[in-house]
Amino acid sequence: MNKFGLSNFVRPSIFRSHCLGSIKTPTSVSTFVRFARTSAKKKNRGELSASQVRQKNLLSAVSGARKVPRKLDMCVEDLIRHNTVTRAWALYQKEIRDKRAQNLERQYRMIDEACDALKSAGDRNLYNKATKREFGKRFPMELRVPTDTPPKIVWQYEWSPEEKEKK
Amino acid sequence: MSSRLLINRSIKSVGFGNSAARRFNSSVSSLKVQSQAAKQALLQGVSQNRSTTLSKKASLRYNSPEGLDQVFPFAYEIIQTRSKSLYLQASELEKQIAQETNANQVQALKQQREALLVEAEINNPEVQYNFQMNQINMEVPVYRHLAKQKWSKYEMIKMIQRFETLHVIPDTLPTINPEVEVNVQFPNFVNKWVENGEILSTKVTSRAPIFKIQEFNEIPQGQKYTILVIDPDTPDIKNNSFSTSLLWGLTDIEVSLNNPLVHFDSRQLIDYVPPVPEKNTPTHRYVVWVFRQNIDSPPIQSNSIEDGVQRNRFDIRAFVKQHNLQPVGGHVWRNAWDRFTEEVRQDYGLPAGRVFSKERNSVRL
Repeated sequence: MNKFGLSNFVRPSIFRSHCLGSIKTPTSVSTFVRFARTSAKKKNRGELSASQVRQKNLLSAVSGARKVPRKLDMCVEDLIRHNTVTRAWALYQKEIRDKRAQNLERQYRMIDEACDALKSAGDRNLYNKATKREFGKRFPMELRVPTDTPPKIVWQYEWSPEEKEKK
Repeated sequence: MSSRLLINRSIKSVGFGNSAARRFNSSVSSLKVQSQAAKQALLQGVSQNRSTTLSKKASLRYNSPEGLDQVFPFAYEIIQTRSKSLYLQASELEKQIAQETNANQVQALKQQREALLVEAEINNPEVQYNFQMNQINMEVPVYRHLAKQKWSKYEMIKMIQRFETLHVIPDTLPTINPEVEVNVQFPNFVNKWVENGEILSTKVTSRAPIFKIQEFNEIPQGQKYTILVIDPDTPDIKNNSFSTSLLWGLTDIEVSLNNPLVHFDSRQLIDYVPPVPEKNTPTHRYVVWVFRQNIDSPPIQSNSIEDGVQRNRFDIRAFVKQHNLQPVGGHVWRNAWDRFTEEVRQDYGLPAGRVFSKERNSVRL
């Protein structure tokens, strides 16, 4: 931020290549403010004249696209190499993601199997103890993981807690 | 003819999936970059080797993105490892296919294997380079996949759009589900593939066009094609309407993936008659329909289209139904009466053209 509260995001190359070809580019761009006027009286050596500043300001107002960071210009080989790297990174990430999901799935399956085993063991006490709801616990087992979008099945109308079924 | 075809001829088609585990770049020549300099620049970076795609002057001031050369070998390794495992899976599928007896199951397995072969090679930088440089072999699944992707992203959409806006569908056939790329060129208009919907001079269309039928799937043994060129805008004064006339019919056409050009000596159902629109009739559409013939159906007899009778008032829908044809692609160009039309009529010995009134009658033609 400069003293006018504006960020300095203007690239110095703007003025080099355009119609102001003969004008020397100011070494420090940070002094440049959009729409700022410089009076002719205050002109210092090495700085731009009033008319030049006006042109400069005009250009900066017109050519907004030139302030956007320049696209990466790559030759064909480098573009393909770049795409290869991007694809490899995506594949590597996917591999990690898949491994993690597989692991979680396996864990869930084992929990499920263990609960089933307890259920069929005859003594319901063990099963009830294992699946007992813990009130006041910050992250209970049955907590729904927060998601960005609502679930596809919004409400499970069929489901009811076991206590109710008993009654 | 494009340079791609010339290159393709020199590349021998290669059988797939015969060897077991395979990394890419191993045995199939069309999956490698042919030029050694280009290959080095691609795989080792352009900082050590001069880029073959940049001019000498441009390469002097060109700098590779920072870090790309350092990270590329690791990325290449990842992609090669993955490709190796995919080829292993494909070879396992190959064994399954050999054991399978159910034809439908075999078809499904073959599709799975082809998808694996595409996936194994699609990230190969050499394949990507070859595709960009148009040095491709359509026998190889990955190139077919890339070519289809490219076609269906632009050319196919444009073709459907032209067919819809010019009302080619449903005026000629009810709809189209394009599966092949059809290109048309006229011998009087060398090296210019006609764009869909383009208005051409009758001089240009005075000689029979050259067709290109590019398939993107493997072509089954004995697959043949039929091409019909029709004009649905022939004035029909009796009914105060328009009728369809047949300009050209070709049948039993055989094309291959690497040789998509339709051979000149293909069997003709009917001779080519050039478009000669009458003066003051609206711009005529000339529609090329490409059909896949049913392999089991008998060949279409040329006497089923009798000259003079069927050429005028040709019913394309009935014809397609009768011969069990599957429309897979098409093309449309347009002609209007111009200063060459009378000349073309004379060349072909056609009767003198009629001149319609410029004034519209109270009853619409």
